[in-house]
Amino acid sequence: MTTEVATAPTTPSRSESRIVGQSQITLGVVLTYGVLLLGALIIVFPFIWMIFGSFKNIVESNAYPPTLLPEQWYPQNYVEAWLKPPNTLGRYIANSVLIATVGTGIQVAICALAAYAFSRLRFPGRDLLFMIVLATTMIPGEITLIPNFVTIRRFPLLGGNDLFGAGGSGLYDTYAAMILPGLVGAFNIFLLRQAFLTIPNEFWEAAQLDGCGSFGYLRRIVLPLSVPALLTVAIFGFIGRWNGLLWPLLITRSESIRPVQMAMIYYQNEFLTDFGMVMAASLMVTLPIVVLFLLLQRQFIEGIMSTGLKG
Amino acid sequence: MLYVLPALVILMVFEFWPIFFNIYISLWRWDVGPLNFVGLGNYRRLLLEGFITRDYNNELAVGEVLHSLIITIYYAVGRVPVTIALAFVLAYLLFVWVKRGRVILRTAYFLPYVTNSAAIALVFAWIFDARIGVMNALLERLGLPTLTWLNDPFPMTKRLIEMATGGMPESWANLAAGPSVAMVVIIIYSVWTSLGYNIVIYLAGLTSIPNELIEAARMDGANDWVILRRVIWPLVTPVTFFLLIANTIGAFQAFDPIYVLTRDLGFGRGGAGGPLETTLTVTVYIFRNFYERANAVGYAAAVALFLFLIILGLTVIQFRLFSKRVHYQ
Repeated sequence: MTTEVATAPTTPSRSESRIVGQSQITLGVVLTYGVLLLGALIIVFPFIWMIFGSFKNIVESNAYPPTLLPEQWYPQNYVEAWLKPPNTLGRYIANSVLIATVGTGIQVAICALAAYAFSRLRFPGRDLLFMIVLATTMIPGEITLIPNFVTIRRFPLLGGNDLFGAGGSGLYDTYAAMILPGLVGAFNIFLLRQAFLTIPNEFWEAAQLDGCGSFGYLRRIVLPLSVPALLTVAIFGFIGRWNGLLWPLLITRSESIRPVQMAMIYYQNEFLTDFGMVMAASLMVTLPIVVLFLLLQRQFIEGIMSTGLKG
Repeated sequence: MLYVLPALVILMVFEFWPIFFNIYISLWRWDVGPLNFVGLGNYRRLLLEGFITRDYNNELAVGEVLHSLIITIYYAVGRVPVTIALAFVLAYLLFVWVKRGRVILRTAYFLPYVTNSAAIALVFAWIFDARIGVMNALLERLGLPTLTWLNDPFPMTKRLIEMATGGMPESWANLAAGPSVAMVVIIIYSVWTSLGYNIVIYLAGLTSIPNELIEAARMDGANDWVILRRVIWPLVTPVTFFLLIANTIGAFQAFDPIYVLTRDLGFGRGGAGGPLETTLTVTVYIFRNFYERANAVGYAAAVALFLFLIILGLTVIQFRLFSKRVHYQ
């Protein structure tokens, strides 16, 4: 496992390693590994603490001084954590899966369509429109937060609202409200456009000779050739939605539709916190992201390295 | 054209329109909908009472906005330089000195960035728990005094002086003495989550340094320290500059870590920003006005615009100050 990962293509090639001469494997190198391993241990420590802590019963998790390993393993924490929030943790996980997959799916589709138009098709005002789209990356979250809340709440003709958005609650407290804002992300369009532009023009000419329309070309040629870029957009979209807290907190009221990060609040409220159960919940909520990251970390880290993209 | 339409509609409604709508809302006293037009009243309140107000003794005191701004600056100053410095050192060590296990180490450092969420913040809440936390157990083992961490509103500087001398200085105000102990925990958490991102960006910068430059310097007899100081550091200044700006903006916009770690400590139900409002940053202050106070949505919108202008101003200042010192190849 170790060697397999270590020789993965992300590792910069041997030529770079020659910056340090071969003769210098000395005290310095040993010290460096020491520092880096100690640092990594500190970074990973909360995860280790979470894993072992999730098997401690309430007496042990409140014991002082604490121990790393539980004396009696108590896996029932997972059952208790699952049953603790209203409608069980499963309901929140299902909500998050829904929001993250549907939101990310629509996001990738919409962004791919737009990026394709901006890279391949010709229409009047294209470059101006692209500049406008890019300009939205500079609009910060603190500015859009409150107006978007009001927009969702007063969305015309929905949720009991009249044509002018008065009377009802609009899209407030719906899945759509959690998905809609932030669905596009101009940066994603930019990223996909860059990927689409690398596809040689000859492919397009050949496809046209074969009677392929512009949508067929997108579906059969462009998308299959751009899987890494699409994957990068999808991973960032999924993880952002899975970890998101503020927007769902603001825009929903019903526990039955809230995502998984909001369930975490139910584990916090007690006078004597059952930290073992809290850790079991944290682990169940975090594990999907860790697995996803470990499976796709090449796309993930290369996506950041090549673009400076922030998740 | 049809292909662009869905993206364009959503960007218009949820990105462009909000700029104008936010200004519009900020001119009203607004609850679920507009109540009454107040013109620049919200801005007047923000800039006058928000900065200097009178306390219950009718003496001049720091206003809510200025208070939250100072807290935000403490948070940013505590978080940004530490993150960048640690990231550079670790990325340099990883890149130049490590031949085996680089990917494994990189993955370990990067993990907190992807798991950054309410769920993982609770692990920190346990580690830094005042009563049963492992951090206090560690300090005790080392023979050091323990702290109540997230429950402690006193400035870290005063706590350290108290530990050293046995008495806490009374002469200077708590707000002037730097971040509270609770804020220090939030800073530690934030550094922990953002370090991996910064390391990866530095690694990308280090990878782009032409090997010949380093070989040439070595030919000229430069040792590792000189190469680091005179070759590598200047060549990654664009990366450092980018990270400085990105981290500063991120720090001024941070909400989740503060909300999750202090939710039970603030005032009222679901209030964040405690203990004694020493972690009440501008974003949390906007949230409080928007979400918890009656009829203050318009005021919150005004503060949001104010925060945006502060961030914009800071970015411009950073460009002015540092862009001359950035070396592009």
